[in-house]
Amino acid sequence: MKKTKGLVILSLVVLLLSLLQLPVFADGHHAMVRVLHASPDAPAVDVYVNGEVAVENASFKDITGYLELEEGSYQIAIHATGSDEAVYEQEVAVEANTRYTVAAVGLLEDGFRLEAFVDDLTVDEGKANIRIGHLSPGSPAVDVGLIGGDALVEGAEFFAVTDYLTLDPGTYDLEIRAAGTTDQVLDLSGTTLEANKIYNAYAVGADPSSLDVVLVVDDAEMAPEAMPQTGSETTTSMTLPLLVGVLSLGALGLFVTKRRAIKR
Amino acid sequence: MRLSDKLIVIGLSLVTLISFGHVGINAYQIQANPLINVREAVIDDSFTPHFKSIHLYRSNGFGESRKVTLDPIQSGPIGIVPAQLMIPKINVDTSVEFVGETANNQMGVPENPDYVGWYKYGSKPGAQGQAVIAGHVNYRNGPSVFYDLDKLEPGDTVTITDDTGDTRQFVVVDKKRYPYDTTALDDVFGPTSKQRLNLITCIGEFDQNAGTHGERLVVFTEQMD
Repeated sequence: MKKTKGLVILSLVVLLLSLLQLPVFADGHHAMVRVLHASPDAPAVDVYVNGEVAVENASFKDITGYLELEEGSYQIAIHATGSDEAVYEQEVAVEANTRYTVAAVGLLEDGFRLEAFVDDLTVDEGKANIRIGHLSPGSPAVDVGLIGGDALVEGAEFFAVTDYLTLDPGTYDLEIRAAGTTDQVLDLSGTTLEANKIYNAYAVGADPSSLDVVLVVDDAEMAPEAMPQTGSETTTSMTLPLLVGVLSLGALGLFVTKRRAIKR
Repeated sequence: MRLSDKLIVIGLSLVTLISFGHVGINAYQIQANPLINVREAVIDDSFTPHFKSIHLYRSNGFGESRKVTLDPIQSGPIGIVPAQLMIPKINVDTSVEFVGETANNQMGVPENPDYVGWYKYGSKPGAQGQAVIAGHVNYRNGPSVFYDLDKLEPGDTVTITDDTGDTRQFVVVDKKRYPYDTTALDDVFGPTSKQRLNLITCIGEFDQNAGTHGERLVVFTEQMD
């Protein structure tokens, strides 16, 4: 009985608490922004958003996690790590419910800038999505394709990020070729793409001799359209109290009878 | 000699002379031509040899091909694939199934009512975003794994382990009730920079018309540092 009473009080407290719920807490209506350092000659950097440090010590070929920003325009400033002075500033506008990669591209000496592009973390069930970015300022146009086979991407130049291509998961023998030729530039054989993941292959480096590929992988992040069906119609909620009730009544009866017996 | 004989001799001589002349000129040309060609080749700087090894003289702006092995990197913290869920406060210690979506695009539920179901198309626990695990409040004849989920309060802890024993600890930060047909799915599944794990079960009166409980309880937790 005491336990039941405790339960009743607890659930009352919970009910009251749920009435006094705090203002909306878990709204997902933000812009998500991450930063890719693709400027080959730039040092490690700190990234300031509206004057506040948001990313610290990102080096060439690093990508940060996502920052959560309200929809709107932001002043993004790039500082050499630890420095109070910005080497570069740019305004970037972001929309709610959208994910962005903001890439620092170009040479610090020549053509340094920020490029923002939208990330899509959805993929068809059981498939892998991949897109290619040409972020190497000194490299000519390239094709990306299967070794000695068809091109997946043709004529990508600096600066370009392709649309997503949907592929079956598996291991691919990919190569980067000089655009329009069969001349292999980089041998990417044995690249494994897993199901339900999204890949971004960014070609980075100052020039062809330092060309490298940064492969960023994201897990698909989707949402259902409705909440799960996590209950069913039962008399369960009545069974336990009833059982407790009957037992305690029995115990009470027994107690009272015994007591009377003792008194006599 | 007869005139006819003289003409024949002259004619034959002419033919002989012309023939040998041709042979002589021909022989001279055969000898001379290579010399002319070589001289021209040296002088003419627009001359391009066509060797079989033409690729040595690539002019595409790239050097020799190199092999690059791609190691995928992840942006932000890396999550784990949940295998076991523990919530000491409400005596939950159970296996995690992977669930997808039903035919009408509801989040799926675990087949075993004593287990919980992780929404496999969403975030992994520990990664940025909102990982979601659902459990039954009841099932046919009795209370089920998340019967006491509503007893969790901010500060209570939740532990997730993967099948290699890697463990993540989460702390309850909030709980909220939503109508069963809410469209605010983004609140629970949508993007965030935080490492969240949300637990869902049914709550409220059973709605005979809708054939489901009237509400869903969502307990929001965040990974502890």
